[in-house]
Amino acid sequence: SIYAFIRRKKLMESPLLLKIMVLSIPLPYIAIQLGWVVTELGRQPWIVWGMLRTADAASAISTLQVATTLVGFFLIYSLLGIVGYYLIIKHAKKGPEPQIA
Amino acid sequence: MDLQAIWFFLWGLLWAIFFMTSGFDFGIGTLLPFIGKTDEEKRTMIASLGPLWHGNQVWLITAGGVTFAAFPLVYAVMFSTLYSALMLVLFTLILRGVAIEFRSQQDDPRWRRIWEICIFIGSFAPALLFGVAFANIFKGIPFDADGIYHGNLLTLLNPYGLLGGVLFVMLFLQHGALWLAIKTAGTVQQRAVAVARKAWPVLVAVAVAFLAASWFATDLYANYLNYPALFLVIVLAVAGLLAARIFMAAQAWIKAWAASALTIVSCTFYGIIGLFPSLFPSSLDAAFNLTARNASSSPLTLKIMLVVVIVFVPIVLVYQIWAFKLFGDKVSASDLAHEEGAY
Repeated sequence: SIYAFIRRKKLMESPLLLKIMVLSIPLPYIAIQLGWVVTELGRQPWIVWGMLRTADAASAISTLQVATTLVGFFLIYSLLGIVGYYLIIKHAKKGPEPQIA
Repeated sequence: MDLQAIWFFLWGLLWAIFFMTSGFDFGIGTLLPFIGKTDEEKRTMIASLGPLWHGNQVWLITAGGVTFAAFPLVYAVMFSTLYSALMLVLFTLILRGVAIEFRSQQDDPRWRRIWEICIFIGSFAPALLFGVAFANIFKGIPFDADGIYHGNLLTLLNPYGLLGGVLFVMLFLQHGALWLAIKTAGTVQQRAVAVARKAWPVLVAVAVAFLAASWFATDLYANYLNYPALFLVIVLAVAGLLAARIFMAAQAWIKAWAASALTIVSCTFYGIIGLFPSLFPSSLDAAFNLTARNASSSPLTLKIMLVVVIVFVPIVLVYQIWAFKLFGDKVSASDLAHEEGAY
């Protein structure tokens, strides 16, 4: 980003910089996901640090029910992810909207 | 009235507002395959919801949030005992939300068909399931002193529960059809009016059956018999039903819709008042009932939240009414042609 700041006036003449920028699009997403994983795993076995253990907080619901909904979430979010990416690709291929004068 | 009682009725009020506002978009989603024959008619129907359905669903989050914050024990036991039913509601609502946005994204009949099915299921199923869930709450849910549920998804699908589900579906069908009568013109409006007229006698019959069945299946009437003045709520519900029919005949659609809204709110309060002070009664033993007394947060929490609610709920109501006014005009062909990505 320091390099980008130095080159900010000549952004369009720096193919290397532009490529790096495209490749870094997923980085914030990865950071968010990993950060979430760290907080969730980091406080185990507590669900509320020092107050309530995860095992004590879990509802008394049959494993089958939880497994079913887990599969349900997996299927629905996978489907939505695939459809979402399909639409993003479709719109990206169309290119930018023509300028309205 | 003490803090716990105030929060009990605020809890009921938020559910009532949710049913009143989301009711018409559930109704329209359910009517989508029946009233919308051509693509343009379907787009008109979806466009009649405008941006309002987003706001309508926020009342569900507030109702759930208030259950969590004011009555945490109810929240915990409710979401554990009704786990499968509520997850089903959640899944269908997720699909419906994206379906409304995705449908217009591709000009392909098959693509649009898939999302229309999702809109239909995502509107009909929650309407039915919310009715089933609330009728079962009125009746009592089989859970023990530890909040452990002794039943399964099918336990909820008893005759009284299903009757509640049908009542909700009919209430929302009328509500949605009248909304279309306000917001559209031409064939869509004609069909919506026809649906509203045909739905009305069915709704009345189901409502009467539900009131009668509640006498046998629930303890709701105990409070009413102790304080006969409360029967006013039932009178209001009946008045709303009659007014809706009268305004329909006069083709005063906005007034008819308002009458339908009154019916939905008074139907909700009919149950809420009957439940008091229980929020979540147990059908196994009245000693396990979760009430405004034994399931609430600390007085300090309730006090802080009351201040927040008194400040913010009026603000939210004002901007939602403003949004309803802004988008009050009929949907026109130019609205649909406005932009490519529009519904």
